[in-house]
Amino acid sequence: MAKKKKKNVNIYTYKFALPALVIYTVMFLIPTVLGIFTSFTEWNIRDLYHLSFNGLDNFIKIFKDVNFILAIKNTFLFAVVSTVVKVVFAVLLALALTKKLKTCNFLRSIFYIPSILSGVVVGLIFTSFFKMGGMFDQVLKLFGYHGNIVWLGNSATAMLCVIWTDIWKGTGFAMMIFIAGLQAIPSDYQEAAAIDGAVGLKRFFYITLPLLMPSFTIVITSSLIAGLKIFDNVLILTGGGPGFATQVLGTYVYKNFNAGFLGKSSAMSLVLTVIVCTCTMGLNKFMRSKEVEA
Amino acid sequence: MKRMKVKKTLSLLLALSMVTGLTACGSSGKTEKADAGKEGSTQADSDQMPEITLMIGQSNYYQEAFTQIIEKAKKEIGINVKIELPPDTAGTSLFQTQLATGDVPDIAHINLPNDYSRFNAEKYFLPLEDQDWVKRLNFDKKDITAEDGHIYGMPYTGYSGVMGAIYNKKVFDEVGVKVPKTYEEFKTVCEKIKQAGKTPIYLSGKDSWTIQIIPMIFMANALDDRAEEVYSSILSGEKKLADIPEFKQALSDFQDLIKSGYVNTDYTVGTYDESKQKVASGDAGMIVSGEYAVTDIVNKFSDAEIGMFPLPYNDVNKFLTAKYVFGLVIPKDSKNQEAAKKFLNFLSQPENMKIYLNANAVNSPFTDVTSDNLNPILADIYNSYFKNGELIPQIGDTLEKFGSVNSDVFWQTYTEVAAGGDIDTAINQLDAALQEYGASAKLKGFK
Repeated sequence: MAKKKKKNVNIYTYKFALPALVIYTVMFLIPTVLGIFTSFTEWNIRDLYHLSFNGLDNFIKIFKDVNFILAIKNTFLFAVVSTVVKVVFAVLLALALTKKLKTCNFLRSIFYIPSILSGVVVGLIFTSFFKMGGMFDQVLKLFGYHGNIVWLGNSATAMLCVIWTDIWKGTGFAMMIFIAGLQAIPSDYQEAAAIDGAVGLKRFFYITLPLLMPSFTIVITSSLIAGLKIFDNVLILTGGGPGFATQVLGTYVYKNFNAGFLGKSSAMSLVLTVIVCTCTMGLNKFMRSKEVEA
Repeated sequence: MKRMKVKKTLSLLLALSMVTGLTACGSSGKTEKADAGKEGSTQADSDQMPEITLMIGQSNYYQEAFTQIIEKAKKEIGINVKIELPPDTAGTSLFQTQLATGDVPDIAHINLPNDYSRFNAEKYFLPLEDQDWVKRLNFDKKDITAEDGHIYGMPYTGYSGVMGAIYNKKVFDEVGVKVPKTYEEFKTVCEKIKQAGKTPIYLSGKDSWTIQIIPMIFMANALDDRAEEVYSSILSGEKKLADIPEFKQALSDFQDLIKSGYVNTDYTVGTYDESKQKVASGDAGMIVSGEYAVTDIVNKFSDAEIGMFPLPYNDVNKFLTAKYVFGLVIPKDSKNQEAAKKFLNFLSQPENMKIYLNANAVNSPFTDVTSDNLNPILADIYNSYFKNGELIPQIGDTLEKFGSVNSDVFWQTYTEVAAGGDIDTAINQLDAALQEYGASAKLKGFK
């Protein structure tokens, strides 16, 4: 501790990074690169050792597949709707729970709990929640509803149910980030604004919102990525059904992989990767341009 | 200071427990082997007891029966059998991968002869036609022979798959109807049950494999004697589904059945287990299912009075049948082929076969084995419809040769049709899928 001389020489050799690098390469880099390569090949599980290059055939095939197009649409619907609703709910909750309430900490934990549950558990909970005559129907009954819609078995409502479960699960996490963001805003700004006569909504839109922008960036980006990659919720709740109505990219890739179309499913995942990258990078850039320095 | 001490001892304890945990993991394999070696030597045999692995899908595994058989095998032929139970949905691709990489179980369950093409039997399985049990087969051995003339698996059930309407006798009595002989009568039965405020037919779409049975029966009955011929023209690529007007008719009548309100409103989320319970309790008048549902209902709901009749679409009085039996195959890459053959032979012996057929009460695959536990409903069907050959094959068997196209595309499409989807669109979608899966399975006529 006595010596405070700065050394430019690194006393550890790079060899220490070797185990991590090897694992990373074998488990991540090689499969990723191979995945890109195999998307341009005809490769089937029946002939695991014979794959032949077939150019863009896989991509032409998947874009002609109506169910793949439907899966892309569903994926975007899922990602966008769940992100928007999550952000709105989370901001409102965060604003409420940064007020001086006695039950503040308790409520925060309550709202955060769904985030720590696994997707499979959430799927199972909501399967019985949306069942005919299940809890959801019972709640609606209190408001005088007496229909017999099969929420998860109707192509018009199944997607909304799946989206709703994701909102329920993800809002707590987003709320926590917003709470942190709100607490980081120095009170001077609010006080100054108050002295200048800004009240209520005005203060929120001109002071709080711009300063909260970094939190928005984090929440929107991470939620969008998760939304585009959604898999477990859908698989448990509906299995992509009824018919193909709730098929998303994740489940459709899985289905094709299971059917043994390794080349084709690689091509699909490549499309998914490209979509995720362009969307999030574009959005991230846009959001960052809106951020202001506190 | 005291705190520091506590912390130190705690961390030391933790570290110790972690280290012991590690060593335990590392050495468990070795000790097991050593133990096995000891046992072998005490038994005065020169080599240790051979161990073989048997892979079987979870839903086809009858624990009690297999445990009993395995215990017997250990004592009587000195072979230790280890069971591997992959989940049903992952079983196919798992076994395909194992075959391709050579890291195989010694014995595996497949359906004979349907799964031969799916698993490339000629390339990967050991021919077994020279085995003793072949002479004792209860059916023509051609039925399980592959196209190249070899038999690749030992059957452990006989031909028994029948599909039709399973009905609650009390419900039929209450509303005053008899077992229908024509399709018009069948619809009248549905109407009367509906008016009595019960569900005529309980569909269980959440277990999507059950949704295919009605359309398959309709199609087969519409084709009647031409069924086999039309199926093989689909397999050869000569005909598309769009060229078969009977298929379109079948789908549209299936759609009508749902539109008429003859099935439960929650048919897309109902499960197979619920369907059995509904018909047993009399909440539903009928379910359309296979002989396995009869066995289950009889076992689980012993006081339910049920019966089974062929669904008389197109006024055809025949049972739809699945033309396959359960079989056990030995991969060529297995390192214990002799032991595996010995075990199969052991299993085929009457006293062992009976243990299995007691648990899974279906027809027996061997002439010298009787299936004693068969329930009277099925025994009746086997003695009448089966003996007289009043059976129609299902298209499902043909679709198996295309790989997983049935479960990947057909079932979902049937669900879409049921929900009111356009039938021509559905048929085109199915034809496109057949094209893709057929080419992937390298069927002649599909490129």
